[in-house]
Amino acid sequence: MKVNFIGTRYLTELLLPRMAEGSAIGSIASTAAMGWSRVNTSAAVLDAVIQPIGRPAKPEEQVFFSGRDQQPVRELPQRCGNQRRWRTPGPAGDGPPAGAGGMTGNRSRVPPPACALRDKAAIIGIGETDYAEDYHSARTRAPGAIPLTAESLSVTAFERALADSGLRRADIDGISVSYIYGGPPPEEMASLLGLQPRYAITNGNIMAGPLPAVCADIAAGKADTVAMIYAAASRAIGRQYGGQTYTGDQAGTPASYYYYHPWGFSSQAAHWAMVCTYYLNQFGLTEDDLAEVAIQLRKNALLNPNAIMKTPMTLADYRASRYIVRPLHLLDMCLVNDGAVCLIVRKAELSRHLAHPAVLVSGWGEAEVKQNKLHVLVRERLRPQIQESLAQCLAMAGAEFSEIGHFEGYDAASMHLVTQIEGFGFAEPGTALARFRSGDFSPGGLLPVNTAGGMISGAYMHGWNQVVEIVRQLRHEAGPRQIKGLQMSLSSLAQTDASHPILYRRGA
Amino acid sequence: MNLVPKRPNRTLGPGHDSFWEYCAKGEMRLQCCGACGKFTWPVAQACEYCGSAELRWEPVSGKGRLVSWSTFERDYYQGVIPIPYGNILVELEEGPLFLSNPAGFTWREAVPGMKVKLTFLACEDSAGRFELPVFERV
Repeated sequence: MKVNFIGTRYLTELLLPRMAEGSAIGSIASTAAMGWSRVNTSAAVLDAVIQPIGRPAKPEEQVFFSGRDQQPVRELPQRCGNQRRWRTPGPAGDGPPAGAGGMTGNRSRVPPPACALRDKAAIIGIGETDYAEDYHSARTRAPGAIPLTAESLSVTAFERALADSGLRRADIDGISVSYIYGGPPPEEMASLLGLQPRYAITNGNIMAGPLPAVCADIAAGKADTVAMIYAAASRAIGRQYGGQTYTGDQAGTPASYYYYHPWGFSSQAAHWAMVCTYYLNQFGLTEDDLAEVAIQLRKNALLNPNAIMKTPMTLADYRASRYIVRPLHLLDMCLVNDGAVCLIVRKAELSRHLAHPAVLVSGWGEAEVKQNKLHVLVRERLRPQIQESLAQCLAMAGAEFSEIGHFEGYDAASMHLVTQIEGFGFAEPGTALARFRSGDFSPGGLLPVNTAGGMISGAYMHGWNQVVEIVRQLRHEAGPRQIKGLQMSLSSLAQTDASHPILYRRGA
Repeated sequence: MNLVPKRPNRTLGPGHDSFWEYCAKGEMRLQCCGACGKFTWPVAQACEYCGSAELRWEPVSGKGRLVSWSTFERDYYQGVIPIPYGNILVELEEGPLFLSNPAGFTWREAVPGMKVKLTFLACEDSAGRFELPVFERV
């Protein structure tokens, strides 16, 4: 009763000054407001009630063929008037205007790798939405089905991550939000989740910079325990990649690679097809050789209950799938699905003796192609940048390349994964496909790769689900696909014109 | 006025306009750095190699070799360009890689290193008619 009375009166009083002449308030109270006093209601509630939310952000992987890319600096949090809340300057979630600078979106810059930041933060909670279930219900378009939103997906992922961590809600003192297609600002999301963070940032979108950025901020003492939330409601708005503008984007923002539109060239598929033709010619390989990547990832997905693709794939299935951009088939391309991921990241010294072994973030690196882009992307397949970023990452972590026992690479397309496997040196140039065939990259092989099915057969969560898989593997909780005795994993989750590896260790 | 094929919109504006104006005269010119002598493509404000802003529009021979290719079989442009259609990556004699379309051949005839030469295709986008640089077999 007390909650219902005070809560309703509080909200009413806040609304009164904003009401027009002759308008009225009807109050309906329920116990759903339980715990309201822990939530920072004032402005957040008003924003949610009065203003429509959802601000589109552009996927930052769409940058590379677009001429000269700008590198916006990550927005740093600043205190705003209300001392209990943080606010990011400018319109949260919006990147720089698309235009001559290219499609950079809200890019999260990777903080410079430094040994002082090694193992300072750990992933101690993971939560994912029901990728497979949501994918199939979106495709069947059940009558009356409510489209998934960034908010609803984020709540599910967060609650699961919180439960997984074994922490109390009050232990979370930071929030970071990374949306692909928009979502509420971090303060609103915190209110929605019942959090009162002292640190709240909008943090890029795809898994390139967000994790190192939060680890560096934890090391700097800005927060102890951060809920990192990623959400993509792509299928809900009918997103497709390529064409003059993104379908479903009301702003009419030009799609990626827009410079080449007059020649009909756009999309990730087009880029990887161009890289792939060169690669197959260079090493005398065929489309059947390339099929090995998709076939192995499908096998991995069959061992992951939350993977979207659930039927075995044969070479005949691969050959029969339609071309998207020749030589790439539909089955070479990643999925498009809705979902959210939450990672709870905590100061390492507070991460011992929790529900699960902590997974330490040990090192990272970043290198981007600056010159002669088409040459480096197509003929060198980004190898110089991948090698440079790997060297930074290993130096920061104090690790040897040979210690890496598991690799999660960003598989926007099969060819994308091949460039990373060979670029990092897990296979010599031209040999990755043969080694897929021999099983070297299977869960029981020499170097297991994308063990949950990656984004081609698992779920397209812009690399975030691949970090979740690393956590499961390093906890030794990956079930039938578990890599025995695993101690160190590498992820490479990035744009096609840059390399951003992150190295993880199993905590003591 | 004869009907010409429609194409998705060009990027226009300072610098970009110069490229298309030369194309309209039937010649391809690219920005060449007055400091280091290298060609830059796509259109830039400064040389991608040395950073110099001293870029001049210099003619290129239009001769090149085929580096790679791909074929769109999915209709990303709502029918503006009928599928399937090819894209090619051409290494121009002067150095830069130029992304274009094949004229008079498809992926079936494409061979790595094959010699190609520049030609123009009259097209139209929402800004009007223009000449699109494409490449044919020598």
